[in-house]
Amino acid sequence: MENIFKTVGKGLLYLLVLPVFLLVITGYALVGAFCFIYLFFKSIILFFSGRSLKIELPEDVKAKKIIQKIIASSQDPLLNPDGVQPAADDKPAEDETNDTTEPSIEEVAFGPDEDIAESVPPIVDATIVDPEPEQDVFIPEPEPEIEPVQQQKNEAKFSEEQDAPEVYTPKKTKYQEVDSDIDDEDRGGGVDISFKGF
Amino acid sequence: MFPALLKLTETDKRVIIALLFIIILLLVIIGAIGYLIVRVMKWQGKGLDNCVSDVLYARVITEKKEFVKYARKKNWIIFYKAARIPVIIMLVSGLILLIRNLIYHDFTYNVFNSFDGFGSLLFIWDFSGIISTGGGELTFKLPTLVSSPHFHLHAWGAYLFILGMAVGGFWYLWCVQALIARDLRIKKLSESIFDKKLDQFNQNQQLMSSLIPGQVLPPGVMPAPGVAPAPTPTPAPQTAPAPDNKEKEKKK
Repeated sequence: MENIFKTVGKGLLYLLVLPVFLLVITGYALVGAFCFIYLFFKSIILFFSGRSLKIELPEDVKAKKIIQKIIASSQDPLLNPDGVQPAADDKPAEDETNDTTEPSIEEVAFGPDEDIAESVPPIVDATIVDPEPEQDVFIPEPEPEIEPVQQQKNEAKFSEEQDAPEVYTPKKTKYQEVDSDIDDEDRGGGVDISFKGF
Repeated sequence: MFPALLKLTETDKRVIIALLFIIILLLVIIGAIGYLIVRVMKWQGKGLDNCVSDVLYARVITEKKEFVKYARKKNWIIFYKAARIPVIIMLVSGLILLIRNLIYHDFTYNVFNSFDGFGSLLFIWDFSGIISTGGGELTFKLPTLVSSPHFHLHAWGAYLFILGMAVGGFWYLWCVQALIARDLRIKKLSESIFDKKLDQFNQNQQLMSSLIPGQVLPPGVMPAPGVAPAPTPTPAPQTAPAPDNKEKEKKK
C-alpha cells in the first residue's frame, strides 16, 4: 500500500516535470541536429584529407600508451602473463635522467671527462684476436729491367716533354674544394672540369 | 445551498469513486513510466564510463574543467555515431515521398488523408454531435465510424514515409535521451572524481597529536608529518603470574 502511494506521488511529480523534460529533450534534439550537421561536414572534410572522425581522442591514445607500459612492466602474472619486460629504449625519460653513479675524484676536480672512451685504447688480447694486416705500409716494388733500346726511347720522350710548352693549371682556391665536394656526388654526366685528382 | 449540493445520490458517489480510482491508476502508470525512464537514463549514462575510464585511470586528465571539456567532446561524437542510422532512415523515407510525388505529379499530397494516405490504415470516427442538449435534456450519442482500415495501393508513399519517419524519429529521440543521460553523468562524475572531502579532517586534532606523541588518534585523522603513530593498544597475554612473586608475597 505504501509503495502504491509512493508511486502515485512520483507519478504526480513526473506529471509536473513532464513539460520541462519535453522542453529539455526538444532543445537537445535541435542542438543535436545542428551538431550532427556540423560533425557530418567535418567528417567529410576529414575523409578527403585521409583521416576519419574517431571516438578516440589524443588523450585516449596517451592513456593507452601509459596503461600498456604499466602492464608490460608489472610483475603480476595476471597482468603480464608472458613476463616480458620492456626494452631499455622503452623506458621513460625520467629513468634516464636519474644517474645514480657517483662521480670520480677527477670528475669532481676537473669536470666530466667527455673523451675518456676515445683517449683510452681498448685492450685487445693478441692471442685471441687475429691482427689485421697493415694496409697503410708502403712496400716498393722492384723496378723492371729496362732494355737498352727501350731506355733510349724513354730518354728521347723525356727530352720532348721538357721542350714542350707548359700546360696551364689553375690554382686551387678554398671555394673550389667546397664546390667540388658538393658537385661530385650530383654530377651524373658531361665534361669533368674539376681538378681534384690533378 | 451547500447542503443541498452535497446531497449526492448513490450513483454520484459511485461515479466519483470510479473517477478517483481512474486518476490514481493513471498516476501509478505515469509514475511507473517515469521510473522506467529514469532507470533507462542511468543505464545509458553509464555507457560513458567505458569511454572515459582509461584517461582517468592513467591520470592523463587531473582537472575537473579539463575532464568536462574532454567528456562533452566525446559525448557529441558518440551521439553523432549513434544518430547516423536514424537520420539516414528519415532521409530515405523523405526521399521515397519525393519520388512518389514526382511519379504522380502531385506536390499537394497530404500523407495523413483517409482516402489514399496513411489515414486509410486507421479507424476514423466522427465525434461531432455526440452531445446534444435538444429538448432541455442532455443526451449522449456514440460517434459514427467514417472510415475503417483498408489498404490503398496509391498510398504506398505515405505508408513508407510515415513508417520510416516514426522509426527514425523514435530512434533519434532515443539517441537524444542517451545524450542527455551522458551529459548528466559527466556532471555527476566531474563532481565526485575530483572531490576533496574535509569531513574527517580536523587540523587542531592533528596539531594536538603532534604535541602529545602517545595520543591515539580517532579513526580518519591522519598523524602529523614527522610524528610516529601511537602504538595500538594490544590486549595483555593471559598467562599465569610467575610462581616466584606469589611466594615472595606470601613470605611478606
